[in-house]
Amino acid sequence: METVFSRLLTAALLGIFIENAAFERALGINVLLYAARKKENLLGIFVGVIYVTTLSSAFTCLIDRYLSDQAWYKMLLPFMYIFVIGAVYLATLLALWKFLPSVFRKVKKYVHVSVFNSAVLGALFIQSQIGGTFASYIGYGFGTGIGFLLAGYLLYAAEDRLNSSSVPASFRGMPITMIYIGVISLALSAFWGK
Amino acid sequence: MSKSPVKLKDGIIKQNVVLMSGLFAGPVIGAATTWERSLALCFVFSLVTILSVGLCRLLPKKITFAVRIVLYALISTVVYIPVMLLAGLIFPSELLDSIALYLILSVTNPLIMSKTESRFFLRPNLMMYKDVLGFVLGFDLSCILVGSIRDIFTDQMIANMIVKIPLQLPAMDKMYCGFILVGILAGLSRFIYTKIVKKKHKKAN
Repeated sequence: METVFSRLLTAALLGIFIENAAFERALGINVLLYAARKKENLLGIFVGVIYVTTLSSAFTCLIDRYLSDQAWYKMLLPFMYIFVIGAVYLATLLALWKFLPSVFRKVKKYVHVSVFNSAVLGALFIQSQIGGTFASYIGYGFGTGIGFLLAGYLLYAAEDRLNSSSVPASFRGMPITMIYIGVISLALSAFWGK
Repeated sequence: MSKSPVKLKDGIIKQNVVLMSGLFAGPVIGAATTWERSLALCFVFSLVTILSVGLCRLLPKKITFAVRIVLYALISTVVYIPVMLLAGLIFPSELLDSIALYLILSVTNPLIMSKTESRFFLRPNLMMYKDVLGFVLGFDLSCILVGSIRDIFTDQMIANMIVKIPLQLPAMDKMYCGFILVGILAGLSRFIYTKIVKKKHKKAN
């Protein structure tokens, strides 16, 4: 039990800090920019990313464990992963529609942004390259989602300053946000000694 | 269905997915660290996007959006297989393996996942392809630009040719430099674009 928990925690910390999807791999940048723009959906989008990465990791672990010996595995990997993500997405939407219709009405406009993006697919692919136990897959999936939420919060906190009049007009919005993410990424790289 | 004329420069300049909107800047930042890598990324992205958008258009419109978006992603993963086989014949396998993560991401790129519904499928067939081509060219040009700049500053070389510049920045192939470079290029391209538009307005008035 202790080993399972320690693996879960180690993998989660790896996903949150050392292999942060946004700062270390430049994954899901479009989602971060979208979430920073549509502030009212911010929490919903990131909860969606955490939910999908965690749940999909459980299924992709089974795929990697039982199918990785096959010759066609590498070529069909994106198809299998997208199939898993799609199944999680549709099953969740159906469940929400059936049991929580008010939530369904709220999230249906942007839920596809949280699900079909490079952060989710990228996290699953990185985990398949790292390998590990079922606990580490779940931990890494959850950690990636939390790390992504952290990146989103850092952008959200700086959003007003990044769009203020003290920034040259041409650099306001996306360009200065990229430079800001770059500076955080530089700080993190220095901190981890990369 | 929108019959307004499609301008190639819309996708190449005005709504460039890397430098103007940043919709698909991630793979450029992560993978376009050399000229060769950016070429491989452009090749896979262009073919996957154009073929997938074309095939997705054939899906019946009465399928609900939630299911349709899953089918779009599945179709692009099927298209990805022959495209990667073709890429394997053109580019060295070590090069493709080193950017495998970013090549895979082209199956969920925003041109397939969001622009199809909001823009491409609102136009007649031929106009749609012209529009997609504009966006793909916009991505390719910015990707090659970023890859070339990073290649020159890191190794003072591009496509096996020595380019002597007085400054060498070995960190240019790092992720943080990618973010900063794309940010600076985005700001500069917006500045130039605004200047040109203002000049045109002045002339028209």
